[in-house]
Amino acid sequence: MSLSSVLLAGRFSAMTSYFSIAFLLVFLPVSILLYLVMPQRAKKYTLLAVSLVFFWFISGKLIIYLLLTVMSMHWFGLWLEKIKSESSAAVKALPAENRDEKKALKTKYRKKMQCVLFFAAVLHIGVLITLKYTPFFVSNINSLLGLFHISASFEIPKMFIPIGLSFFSLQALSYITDVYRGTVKADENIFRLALFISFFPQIVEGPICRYSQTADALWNVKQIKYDDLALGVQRILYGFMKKLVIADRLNPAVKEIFNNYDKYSGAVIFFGAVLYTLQLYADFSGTMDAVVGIGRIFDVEMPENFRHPFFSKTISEFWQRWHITLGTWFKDYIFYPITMSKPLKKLTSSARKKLGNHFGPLLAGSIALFCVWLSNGLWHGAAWSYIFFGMYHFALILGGSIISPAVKRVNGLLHLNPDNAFYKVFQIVRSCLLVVIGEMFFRANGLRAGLAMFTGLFGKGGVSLFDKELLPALGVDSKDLIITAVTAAIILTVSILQEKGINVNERLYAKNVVVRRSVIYSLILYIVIFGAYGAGYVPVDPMYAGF
Amino acid sequence: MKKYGRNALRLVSFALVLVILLLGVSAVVQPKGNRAADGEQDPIANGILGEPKNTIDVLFLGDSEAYHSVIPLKIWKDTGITSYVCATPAQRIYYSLEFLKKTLKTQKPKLVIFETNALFSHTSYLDGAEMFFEERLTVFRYHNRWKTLSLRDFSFGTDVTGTELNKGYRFSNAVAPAANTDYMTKAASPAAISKQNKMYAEKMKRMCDEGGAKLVFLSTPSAKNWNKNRHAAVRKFAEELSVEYTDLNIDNKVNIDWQTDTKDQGDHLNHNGALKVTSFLDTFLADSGLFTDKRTDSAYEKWNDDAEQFVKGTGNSL
Repeated sequence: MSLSSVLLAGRFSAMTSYFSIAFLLVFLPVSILLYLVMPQRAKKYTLLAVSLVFFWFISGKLIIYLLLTVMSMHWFGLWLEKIKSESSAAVKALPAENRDEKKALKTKYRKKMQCVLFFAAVLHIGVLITLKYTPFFVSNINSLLGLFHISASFEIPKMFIPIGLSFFSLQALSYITDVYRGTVKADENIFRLALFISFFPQIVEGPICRYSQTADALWNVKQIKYDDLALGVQRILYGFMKKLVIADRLNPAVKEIFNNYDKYSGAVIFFGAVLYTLQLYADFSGTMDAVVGIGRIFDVEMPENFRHPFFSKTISEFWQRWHITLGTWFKDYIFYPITMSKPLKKLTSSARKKLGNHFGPLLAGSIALFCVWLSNGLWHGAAWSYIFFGMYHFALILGGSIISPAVKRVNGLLHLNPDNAFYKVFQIVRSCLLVVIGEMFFRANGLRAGLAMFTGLFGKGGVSLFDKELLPALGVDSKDLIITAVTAAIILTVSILQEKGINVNERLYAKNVVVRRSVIYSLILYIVIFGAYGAGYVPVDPMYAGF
Repeated sequence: MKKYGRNALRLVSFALVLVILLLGVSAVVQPKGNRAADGEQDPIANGILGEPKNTIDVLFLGDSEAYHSVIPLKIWKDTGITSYVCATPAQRIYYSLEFLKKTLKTQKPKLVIFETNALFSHTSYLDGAEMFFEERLTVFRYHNRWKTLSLRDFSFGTDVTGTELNKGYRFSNAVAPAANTDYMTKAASPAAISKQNKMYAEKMKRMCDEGGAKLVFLSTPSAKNWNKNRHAAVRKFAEELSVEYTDLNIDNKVNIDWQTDTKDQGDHLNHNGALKVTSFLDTFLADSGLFTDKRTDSAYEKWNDDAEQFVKGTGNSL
């Protein structure tokens, strides 16, 4: 094919990880240098070009999905804006006293806009569903046919899914919905919209940004400042530590326990679930540190996706601290529209009369909540285990809301102060336990395996936690666990400081140069020495890139 | 402009101190010997570093095809020529270069024989760059030694005296017959040697020329990895590079019986197969006229002992 296989299309899939050498030591520095040397008016275009090149490198011709998303959203946005201005012109043209006519006209235009929004949403969700869920649906149809002893079966199609589809689709949908709602004006500049959707640090694993959060900041970028560069690099290093020292190190042990759970005792299975939860957090939040850090280098404030989720006292709070941008997306674009819909509003008011002020709104809320968690489960992947994962959290959150008045009463009777430190610790431990069990289902190789692991938690047979054979079987040694624990303790300390409102990154940068550099050098050496890379380690693909 | 200069200075000073720190840590984690117990990652291939100075006549480089096909102790027993196989699993050609470079510091081989399977392994410039840094800042390769560091690691002394009885050969008498015995005649997918691999091979040639060694390409029998297109690609490249090339797959030059001579269905040879390849090499090396027979030289007495021990240890002949 030549011209180096059409300019290296899809040749750098390793760059999907922002911690790969290709990205961190080649692509990012080259991008920064290019950006630095470009004149001010060309910087935004440089950023866009670099973003598209990045996507081209990791996805090749599948970039067509991204380009079509940008073009269609741009077009739908302008269409909505056009209807909006036609609507206001038509309403203005009517005499002030024709209120009913004005109302009817507004409704007519609103319906028109709803149609456009519906069409845009169906088109995008349709592509997402077709690419991501067709094999799942087909395999379920085949199973169903098998259940009825029908010999016919459909071939499961192989779909080519571009990296980050689940992220940039939601981002595009939020834009078009915001235009419909009037929260933002449709962007006439397709390049600005393209940069908002394709900005290279966010395209693989999010965060799912809103147009109002990053579009202008990305378009009005300025020269890189030394302070921003230093603060950005510090944040990337912190994420690098999480990813390389914890996430990649724990991979063999997690893999072994989840693949061969029937060989191990309940305590080991639980240990595996804890390790996986830690691994997932280190991997995903570490990547988000890199994303925020890269944004900082270009002076763009990317939304945070994590806020120390393991300090949550309830599951509901956990989801306000874990994958925040996905949670708020579901809240704004699924939960609220459903609860504010006419039938549910009606249901709420009639239920309020019969069930009271707590349980009345809860009834309608639970329907919206169900939709949110079903979507959440399915968003993570096309498998029953993910649907179960969504339903598990739906049940926990709804259950928590149902029993909250009773819990308050019991606390009152027992004179338990909810602000008591021990009570808070109890709540945190309880939430963590529930999260770990949820993640066990999430990671298990299918729902059946997840349920078997859950049952296995109460089993005693198999290799036990204190068995000498355990660590060699898991492919780790005691030193691996010690360094993981030490790193987790560092993250915990930083998290406690951040929870107290201290911006550790900026506080460090404000220190004198000797202290600052000593800490940075120590962090770099810590990563270089204790990182799980090189001979004997297999790098772990970014865990959320596959969702 | 002044501000840019100051920032550039800050960045440069930061990088300088970092490099010094990395060099310091590298000195600590760098294995102080060439044995597995010292933390060396490829102790078998690195065993050449423990061989007495200027005692190796022939150096073999390559991947697992090389270390399953060439028996240096048989070459010794039959011809009195000393050789060593510096091959490692899935060895990339830039890693072969590193071994060549290391070897040329203490040895003066007259012949360097490169097993060509590695010419088709995927390499990128980035991999080569990574290797370049790993060679200089060894902490990136040996960082995992933090688990086994001892007081000795904080000293500068080294003890690179570990040797390998088999001189890099990996013995296996397992048998798993191959089915595709017509691999050199049937249609095969196109084969091309990548630009990167060509670049490294050219570098290897230059290094051999400078070190006074002759470079030879050798394709050992492999029903799984070899085909006529690969042969054609290597032949063409060898001509361009003016390197002598021998392909033992052509016309089954060494009479490999794919029912008995492979350990894993044609991927690698077993000891039977290796004996056949090595017999060919015996003649090839003896006919080259480059070497003298050292079997009666008392300085090489250990080679006789090693050959004896190999036979005793494996229960197989040489």
